[in-house]
Amino acid sequence: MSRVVVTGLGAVSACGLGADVLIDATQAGRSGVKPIHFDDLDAQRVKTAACLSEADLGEVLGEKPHRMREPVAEYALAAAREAVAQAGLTEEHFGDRCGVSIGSGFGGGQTLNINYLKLGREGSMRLDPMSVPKIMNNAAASWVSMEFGATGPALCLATACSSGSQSIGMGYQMIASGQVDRCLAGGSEACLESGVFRVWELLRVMTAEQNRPFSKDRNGMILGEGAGVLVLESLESAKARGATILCELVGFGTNSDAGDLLRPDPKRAAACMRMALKSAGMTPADIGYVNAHGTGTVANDVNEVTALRDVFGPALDGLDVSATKPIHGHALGAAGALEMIVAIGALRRQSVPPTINFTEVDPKIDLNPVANVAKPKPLEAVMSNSLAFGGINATLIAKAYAPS
Amino acid sequence: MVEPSEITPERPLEELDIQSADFVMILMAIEEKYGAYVSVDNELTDVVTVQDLLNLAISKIEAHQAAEA
Repeated sequence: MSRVVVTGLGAVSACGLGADVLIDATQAGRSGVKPIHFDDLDAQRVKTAACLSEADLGEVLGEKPHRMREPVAEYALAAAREAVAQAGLTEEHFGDRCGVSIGSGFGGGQTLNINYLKLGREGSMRLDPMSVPKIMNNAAASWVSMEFGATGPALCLATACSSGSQSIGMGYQMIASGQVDRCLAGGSEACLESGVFRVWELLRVMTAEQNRPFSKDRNGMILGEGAGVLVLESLESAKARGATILCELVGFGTNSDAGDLLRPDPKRAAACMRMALKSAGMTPADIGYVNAHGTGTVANDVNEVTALRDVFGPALDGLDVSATKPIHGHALGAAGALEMIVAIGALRRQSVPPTINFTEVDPKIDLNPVANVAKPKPLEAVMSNSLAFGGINATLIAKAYAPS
Repeated sequence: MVEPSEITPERPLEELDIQSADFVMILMAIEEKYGAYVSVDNELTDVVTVQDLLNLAISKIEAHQAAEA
């Protein structure tokens, strides 16, 4: 098994453009949540989301939007370009030995929404003839492979909120097993469209107020968008080209509840974390920080804390846990990738980002997360969880790189 | 289907076989009629009886009407 290292990070999020911008925002507790308005909705109940600013959106989409690309593909491309530039990859590093693994929950939500509205209002047969290649879920992964000439396996996992984490995990496995030398891995989501937003309202898991994971007065999640991409490489190939190593990816676990589409099972989430620890050759005591799935719904809070307590035992009281979704929103298929970047940021800066908007410990779960301000501390290893609808769990573990 | 004659304020919703998917329908109806948004979250975890649900709906509707006024 090859050791797998991270040599590049790229992010597009409500916090701005760039992985460092995202890490800065999470460390400072600066939220990208903004007012959002949809003209198509005659009554909008939830009025905020972690959306890109107009200026950032303009920069990512360009003056004249690409005819064949949805925002979901553009976000992924922007994040991938940043990660590739940081890693210092050039043409000879792609080809068959480089894979792409970029998930998305919704795929091209914008074109789908525009088409449906037009069809409903006008009964129009004149829809975007490029709709199919724009909507298809794998468009972002395919555009990234084309941009760099990465002709190895290209995957697109559509596993809702675990898409990003599982995609990174698949990239990790492909490299560890020797199938490829490197992989551009992460997730992308651009689903802040009227029809999509309305069905999230109808599911009633969004808060009309502030997002407060683990807080007694939590009342739901806030939707987000963006993309996160990591350059993963075998240690050998990174060393061979003299790359700067940001950290080592050491553990991946994934499983399913096979229980209920919406109600999570804490035993399965705990098993997933244990699987990641086992693959990393670690014990719970080795983990210094957990970036929780932490959506801010009561269902996730109870599930995730029960699972964490199962895995970490009484030591959970001394473990630093936080949820950064109040800062970058719940970016669904991009969430796991953005949060892994946030966790790697914590490791690199030796500082745990806070759960902002936290007011009071909830006796129901009795978790005291790192609240409202960052906590500097020595960190050797960090964990990031994604626990998706559909009962799909994924856990990643990164640690500081130490040449052996 | 719930038999309307069986619905009394003190009855637990569970006894009436009203489950989480039904809450989503009930809350959608409240939103359509009164414009109040109730998330399936914290507040709903304390709801046991029909009257609890009514109390929550009334407080949300009043808050919505106050915000609109």
